[in-house]
Amino acid sequence: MESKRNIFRGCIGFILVITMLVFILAGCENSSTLNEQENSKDTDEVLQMDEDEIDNQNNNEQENNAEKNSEEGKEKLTFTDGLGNQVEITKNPERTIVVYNSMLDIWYLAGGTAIGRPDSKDMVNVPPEAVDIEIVGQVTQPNTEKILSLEPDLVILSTSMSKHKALKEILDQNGIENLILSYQTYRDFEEILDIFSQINGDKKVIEEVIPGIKRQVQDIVDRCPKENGPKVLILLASTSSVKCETTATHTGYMVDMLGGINIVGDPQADGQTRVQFSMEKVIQEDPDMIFIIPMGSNTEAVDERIKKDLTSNEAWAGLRAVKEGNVHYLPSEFFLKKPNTRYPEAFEYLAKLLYPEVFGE
Amino acid sequence: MNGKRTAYRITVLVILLILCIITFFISVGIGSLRLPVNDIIRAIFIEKEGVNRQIIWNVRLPRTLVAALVGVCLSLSGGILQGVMRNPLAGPNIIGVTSGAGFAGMLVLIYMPQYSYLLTPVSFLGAFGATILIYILSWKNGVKPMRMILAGVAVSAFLAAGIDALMTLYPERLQGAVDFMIGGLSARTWKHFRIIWPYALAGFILVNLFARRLNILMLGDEMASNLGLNVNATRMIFIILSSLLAASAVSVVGLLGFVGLIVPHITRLIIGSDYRFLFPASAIFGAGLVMGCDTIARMVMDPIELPVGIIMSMLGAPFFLYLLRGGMKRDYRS
Repeated sequence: MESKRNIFRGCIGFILVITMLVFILAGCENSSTLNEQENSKDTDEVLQMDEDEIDNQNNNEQENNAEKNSEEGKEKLTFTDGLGNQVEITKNPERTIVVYNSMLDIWYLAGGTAIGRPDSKDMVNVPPEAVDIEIVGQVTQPNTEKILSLEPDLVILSTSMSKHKALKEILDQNGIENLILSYQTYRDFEEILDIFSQINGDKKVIEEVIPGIKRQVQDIVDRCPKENGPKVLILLASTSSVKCETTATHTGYMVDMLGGINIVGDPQADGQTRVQFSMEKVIQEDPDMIFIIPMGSNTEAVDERIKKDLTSNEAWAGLRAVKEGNVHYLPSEFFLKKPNTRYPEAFEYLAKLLYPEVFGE
Repeated sequence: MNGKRTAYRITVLVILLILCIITFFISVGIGSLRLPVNDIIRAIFIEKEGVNRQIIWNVRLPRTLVAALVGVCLSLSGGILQGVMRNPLAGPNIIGVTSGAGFAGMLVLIYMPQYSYLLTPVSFLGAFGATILIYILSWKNGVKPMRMILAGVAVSAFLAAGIDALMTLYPERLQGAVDFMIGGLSARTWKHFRIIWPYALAGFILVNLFARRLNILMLGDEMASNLGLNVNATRMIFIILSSLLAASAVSVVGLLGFVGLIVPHITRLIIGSDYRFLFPASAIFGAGLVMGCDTIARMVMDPIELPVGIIMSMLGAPFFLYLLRGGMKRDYRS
């Protein structure tokens, strides 16, 4: 009898220890609060959780064919949003909430100011002026009540977040103007910058900043050899499967612009960004270089681990790129997060890897 | 009558074995790189270098073998559990293997991504540990199947909550974790084969040695004790065996649960409930099924691969329903 009770106690203890372990470990690395979050098992949703990291959404072209209509003294602009709908946005909003930090950065660049932003662990793409504005929840879990209580006149959302689409409906019902956009690639960056500067009516940005960035990027693209670009495989930071990026992702698109040949190729379906690729095909194609996309935990140790995995795994070790040391771990500041104003630097970084003979110092 | 039945069963076994071997050759034979048979044989036995050798020997062959062994392990594990628990819904998830491996695996992938090579041993320990925990929790003068199933459901739910908590707290580290949760055979090589084969072989031999005992256990606890069987000990041995089999498979390919549930049922419909035949038939059928489905998963959208679990469920579930609705006129006792 006594021993049975002991076993029982032991088990309860074990359960408590596991529970505590989860929360303590979570607490160590993540001080952010956990909002009322449903435990959703939906992998689809889970895959779309971090901005910049996992962008899976349809890459609708946001045409910025702005038509200007004046009514009631407030000028309105019409845009096509990231879901393909026409939306009217009033110019010069005063109480804007941007629920996506990469876009927040562009918003400030385009002369806007915001009153709310999502929480950020590393403060990448949070401009200094926006550090102290209200936090409206996590980017993956925006807090609807908080957003409504701030009485915004414009809310900017991202198509990569499933919760943002749900939030859009609530905003529509409450008559709050909102603009949901897709931010995946450099092209989207140009479009979003253009849309934002129109909304804010900032002439200086339209006439100087945007052409400046575009010109710098174009210069780098122009310097790249026009043909016979190197064959590239863009791998997610794990060798336990062959998850690769198509040309529709942030990095994939940049490599493509610079004339690198992505052996995975274009997406076969709209919005297909990451695919499980055939190892056999990788060996057949024998890429000239392998780029490894950083994951959230971009530590040196992970980097080392992947290099070790690549050389110890029979299938990977035979690849020319691995033998010749042409495996490059891309820095997260440019290739995990969106570089925004630093796009020219990011392009230059890639160009140096792709064409050392042209761009090498 | 009895002899006729045995003859039928042996015929079925032989047919299954032949089908399994054919599937093996198809699986090794086709892929992104299309090669005639003699080139494949050259790549395996003669060439020591080159693209063909690299693809056939280092990619396709180990992957096919891992697929086969995973099929063997999970099918046997499921078959054992459905017998021991006397419950048709029992599978590796019921004894906590899936959630235990999942939770332990997630801990590694999220907190210690630099030690990702520990994923296999840690998820193995997680799977086996969860089984032991469930077994202890359901112990009360011996383990009653129903109590164990309920304890299993509760512990699994608890661990699943832990997995969900990790997923919500660390969205940025999920990529590898999601792959592990879905499970698949992409990039599996000799390293994985070396982990799994001892379990598959030992498991296969042991379950076949003990098959008669499981037949007796199926008669009910009372009857089995009267026939001189130590019910609790037998049950424990089988549960441990089943957990080890499933844990070895799950730690290598991720959470592929469906095989363990469906293969024993399908073979039971074809060959009957005698475990002396059911075990080998399940093992062979499971091996063939996973190899076949993985070949399809590789080829459907070539060169893009689908996780094998998706194909397995899409083909397996309708086929199973067809058998269940009486497409196969055999007695079904579970």
